Amino acid sequence: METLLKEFISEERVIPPLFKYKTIPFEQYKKIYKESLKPEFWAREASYLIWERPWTKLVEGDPPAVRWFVGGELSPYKNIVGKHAGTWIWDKVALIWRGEDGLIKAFTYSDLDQLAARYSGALRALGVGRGDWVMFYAPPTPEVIALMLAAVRIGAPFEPVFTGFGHGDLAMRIEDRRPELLVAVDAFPRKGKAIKVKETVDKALKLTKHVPKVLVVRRMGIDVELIGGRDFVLDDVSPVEAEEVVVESSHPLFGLHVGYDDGLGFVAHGAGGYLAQTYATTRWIGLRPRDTYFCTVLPGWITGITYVLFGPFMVGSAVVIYEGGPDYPSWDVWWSVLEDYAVNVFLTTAGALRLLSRQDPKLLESHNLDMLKLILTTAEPMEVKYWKWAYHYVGTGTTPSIDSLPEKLSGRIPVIHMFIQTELGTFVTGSLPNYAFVPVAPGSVGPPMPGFDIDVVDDSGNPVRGRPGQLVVKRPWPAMPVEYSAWYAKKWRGGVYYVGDLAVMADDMNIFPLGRSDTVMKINGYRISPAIIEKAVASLPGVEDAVAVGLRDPQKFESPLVVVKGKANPEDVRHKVREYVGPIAEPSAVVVMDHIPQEPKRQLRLALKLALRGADGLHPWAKEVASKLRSNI
Amino acid sequence: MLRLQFRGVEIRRTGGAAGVAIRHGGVTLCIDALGLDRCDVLLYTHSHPDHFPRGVADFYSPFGGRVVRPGEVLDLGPFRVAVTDAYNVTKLQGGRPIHPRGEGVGYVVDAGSVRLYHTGDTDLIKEMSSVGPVDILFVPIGGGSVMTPEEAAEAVMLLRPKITIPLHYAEKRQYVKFRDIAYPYTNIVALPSGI
Repeated sequence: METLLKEFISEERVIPPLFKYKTIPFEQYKKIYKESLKPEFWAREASYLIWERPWTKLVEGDPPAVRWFVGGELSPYKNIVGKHAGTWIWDKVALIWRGEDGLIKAFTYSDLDQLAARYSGALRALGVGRGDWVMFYAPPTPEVIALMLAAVRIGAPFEPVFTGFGHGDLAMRIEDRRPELLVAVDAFPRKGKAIKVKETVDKALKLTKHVPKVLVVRRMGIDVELIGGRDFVLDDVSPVEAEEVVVESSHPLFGLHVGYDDGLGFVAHGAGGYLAQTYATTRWIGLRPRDTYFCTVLPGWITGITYVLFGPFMVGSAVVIYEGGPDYPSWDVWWSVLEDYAVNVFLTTAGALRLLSRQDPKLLESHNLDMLKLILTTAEPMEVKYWKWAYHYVGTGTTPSIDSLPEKLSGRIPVIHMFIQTELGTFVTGSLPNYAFVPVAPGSVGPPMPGFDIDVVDDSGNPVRGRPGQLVVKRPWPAMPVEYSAWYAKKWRGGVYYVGDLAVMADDMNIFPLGRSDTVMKINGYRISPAIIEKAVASLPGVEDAVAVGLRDPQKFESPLVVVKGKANPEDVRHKVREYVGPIAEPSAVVVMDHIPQEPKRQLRLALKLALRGADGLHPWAKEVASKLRSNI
Repeated sequence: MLRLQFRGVEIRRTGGAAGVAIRHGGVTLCIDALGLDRCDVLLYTHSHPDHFPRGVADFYSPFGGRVVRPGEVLDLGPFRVAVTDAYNVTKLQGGRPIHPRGEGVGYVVDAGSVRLYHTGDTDLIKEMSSVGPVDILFVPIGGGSVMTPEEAAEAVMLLRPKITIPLHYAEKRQYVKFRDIAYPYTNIVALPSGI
């Protein structure tokens, strides 16, 4: 724990030169924040949406079963895209997509609207109607983005699944969500090789009882097997009439599966509350219609849905998406994207900054990023040193601004790290360029945003400052899930939502997250359930039992350690997890033991977590595993 | 190779200071191309060697081949091309404009529903204001014999194109200066020269 605190906490407070005259003192922030903690605050924010019928009750119910804007009706699609019709935004660029192979596609808001309207007809032709779930297992090509908007347009909630998850994980989600339609691409390029997505879908559907129709979007034009009556190619579907729908405020807009201690849970967000919160936070974090915004987080993560598909389009910004990873065709491709398309707001992850900071500095120096006005980061906790790298090396630029000194790498623009969670729906902490901007605390996710009653508490529920505690939300927020599994409901205790993260809150309310307090792993920002990895490993012949737990990883924040009882080759274990759960969950270490105690898995994982941190006087089995792991390394 | 698709029109660079290829309806129209690969129709804005390769036989230009003049409109397969003025007012050599009026042209290309404007080597001249709404602007930004980055940004502010592809610059600092003034008024897509 001491090591973690040293890496992630800073006493320093930084006022970026460009924000010298915009920064407010803590006392002013506190006043704004205190006044925001009432439901009426969100009524004002929701009034910036277009309502077809006003709500009759602002909020009702007790957590977790809370509904916002009760009786209100709205068209989600109109609030995201349609509202720009007839304005200057309609004819400006909405989306610039760059494929790994160098193809760039640009769409205006009106282009995107035409595409979404056409695809709404295709979805309707395939039998998708209001309330039917559509699942996406596809990278965000422009066609896929338009299909997601089309689903929104006809009132069909959707769930994107990250293509880094394997067929077993996908199968679990299909079985649980039971979508009417699954959208996939034939394949997409990754470092020049075709990732055959449709093949993974076919494998997943062999494991499920529920078999949805499959809509294939041609990305690479490779041959795929099409099963008659089940599989359809987008270009071959004749659209039918499909009207834009108006829905009740709590109508599910989209959902995501998330990892809990004992498996995959599910949450869905309701249209009215979620969009009110999304529109507010997108404006607060600094996005404007004239901005060109590059987000490296893709739909599949909550950040990639809220701040690629919804928020920036609601604001009217131009969104840039790059299909490939940060290292292809070379490690400076993201810098090229920023430079070549005049991106002025850049959103990425702490994990990406770790990777980029380790590359040849000349790659960064060869690009001019003076147009950047904001660097936003999220996902997992960020070490102070990586915040500093981004602030000084990426954010200083070459032209002095206010009192920045390029030759001294003084820093110029804010690097703002923010906290988000699938259940929360949006960023909920952070210094806000377009609202309440306080000095930035390196390594922190900033103070709570207005409207979110966030605290750090001890085991008795009392607020703690300057030492680790549980991150909690003490009153309902508008994007509260409208559909959820029991695991989410259990996170509510005494009217307080326990986020599941450990954090330190400083006296000036800056929050420094330290990772999960339960046994869920945070790998490159993804919440991976240990139970899913254990299930995959247990299916190997010769394996009698398995326990998975997160190991601190200098790159990914955590990576899985799998403890196996039985006859198992570590390589087979890795391969099985990679194939079944996905490459993201591939174990970094496998320890084979003679026995695994007959205790609840959660208990064993917690014991292992402590033993791996070197705590004394603990579970003897966990200590033995830790010792074996150290000797293996 | 980087290439841009917008409303069924595909654009790539074809080398030189200002070479571009515009593909639409199965036909590729190239302006100021030094690399002639996959070009079906060739248009040149003027005869300087960084715009016009020697040995080209069949082309449209103000100086040779099928000669065009400002005000003329050409129907070239799926393209309708209007010839526009392009000349210097303030970029002088020996007291004379480097690109005198009448020696060079620009082209406004209608490709389906997309209007593209290749200004040619020019200053920001009054004739530009009559071009009308532009979807994609190809604009020289390097200064010297063409608009400076600041003047090119003024052209962007005048025309408000949806997308701007900067041309005719040798150094990154020229691109950066142009980009950092122009970006609020258009979406910039920088494409490397191509050859």
